[in-house]
Amino acid sequence: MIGQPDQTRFRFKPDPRALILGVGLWTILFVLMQTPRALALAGGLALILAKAVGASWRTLIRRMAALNALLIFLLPLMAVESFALSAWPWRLAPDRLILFAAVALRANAILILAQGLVGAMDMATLGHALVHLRCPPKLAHLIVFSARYLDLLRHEWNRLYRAARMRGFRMSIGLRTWRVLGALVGGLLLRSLDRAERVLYAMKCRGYQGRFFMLHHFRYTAADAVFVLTLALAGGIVIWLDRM
Amino acid sequence: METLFALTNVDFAYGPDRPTLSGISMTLDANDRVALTGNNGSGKTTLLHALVGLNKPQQGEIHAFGRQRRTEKDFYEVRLRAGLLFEDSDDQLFCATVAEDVAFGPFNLGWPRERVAAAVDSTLARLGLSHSRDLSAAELSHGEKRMAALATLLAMNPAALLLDEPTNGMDQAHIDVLIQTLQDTEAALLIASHDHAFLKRIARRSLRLENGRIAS
Ligand SMILES: Nc1ncnc2c1ncn2[C@@H]1O[C@H](COP(=O)(O)OP(=O)(O)O)[C@@H](O)[C@H]1O
Ligand SMILES: [Mg+2]
Repeated sequence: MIGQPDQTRFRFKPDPRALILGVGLWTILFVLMQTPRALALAGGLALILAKAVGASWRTLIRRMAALNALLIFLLPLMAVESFALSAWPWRLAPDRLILFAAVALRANAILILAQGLVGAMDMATLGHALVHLRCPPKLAHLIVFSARYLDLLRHEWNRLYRAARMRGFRMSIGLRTWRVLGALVGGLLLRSLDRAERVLYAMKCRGYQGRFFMLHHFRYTAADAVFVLTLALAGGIVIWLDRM
Repeated sequence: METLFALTNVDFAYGPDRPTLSGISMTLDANDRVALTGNNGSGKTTLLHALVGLNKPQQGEIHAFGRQRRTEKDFYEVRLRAGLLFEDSDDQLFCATVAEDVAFGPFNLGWPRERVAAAVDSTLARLGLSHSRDLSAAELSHGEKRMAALATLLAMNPAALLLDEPTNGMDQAHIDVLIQTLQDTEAALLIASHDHAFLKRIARRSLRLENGRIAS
């Protein structure tokens, strides 16, 4: 689940808290910005950030393709003068097209930004960083636990699915497929509940009383301060461009 | 010799149909090293869980660490002093990294951070796990997971170790480290296992469960 650190290539590794702060700040900016011009620039900067912290082109392009396929379906809904059968042939409204472009750019920019965040750290680090940023511990631990147990769930799902396949099950479009899938998901759910109970037992066995402690400490460096400042500055410039 | 656990006529059933444990009487003394054997389904896991209060008996008494224990609150102290190794290590490694998992128990004991960090380092080193301290359990082999789970218990300096099939999924190298570790420890040992070669090197006496009763 956690990628091997890539040592052959230089990669800027900001403190996870700095990264979360910076990305959070920029997400707010993206929501505030209105003009396609500023959004396009911000999207480009987000792309540079995502690449700098190690997101791969392949995943970026795959995710963006999925998002934009969805957006194309939204195009007639959002950018035509009147979206009614009687109004066929539909005519694009220029002002609405600009609005649509802004929405599409914003969605892409936020996706790139999120990808940059995910590319730079695993869920566990994200959870730890959130606790240090005074996020409610319950929420942060939920994230940490899901990081650990999503992986187990995937293994268990693969086991169940493989067992079904071994007995001749093949995916197809039909009632039987849905019934088998339903049974598999049900099995997965039951197993998860059992698992949750046993994990709680294991926690109690080591003296758990509702409080979490963490060994891991992060260290802020001067580079992280520069990093956050740069992001804030770039954000400021883009916002100024947006308002001009 | 000090008696850590004493059970008298303990009955336990998961449901209303048939009992899983019936009339169990046994003791575990400090420095005791006991093998717990029996076929699959004979009740070994159920018994180990009863000792730390995860299964509460319907009949009989459990004395542990000098007092009778009945309620969840009674067992809190028992759990801090007796470490239970679960049959499935994935249940026991719930933190993001091995080091965080090992630190979990000591933090709950109220130790200061420096002492916790020292305990984590020395326990991982003792079990040959220092290189995996920052890995997630998902990245460990079966045997390493087993050792990591054991580390989470040893870091708390337990007076007793209750081990449920400890050698399951371990290769010989890990079994050797495990044997060495158990021979060195001062904790009392109660080990449920089918691995007779392993048990022979550790245990000094044995209990055999048959259909929820102690047969010998
Ligand atoms: N959580 C549970 N709920 C209901 N029955 C259980 C549960 N756990 C174990 N059992 C049953 O109790 C019996 C003893 O199981 P267990 O203690 O796991 O045996 P062993 O560890 O010796 O293999 C088995 O018949 C098993 O099916
Ligand atoms: Mg068992």
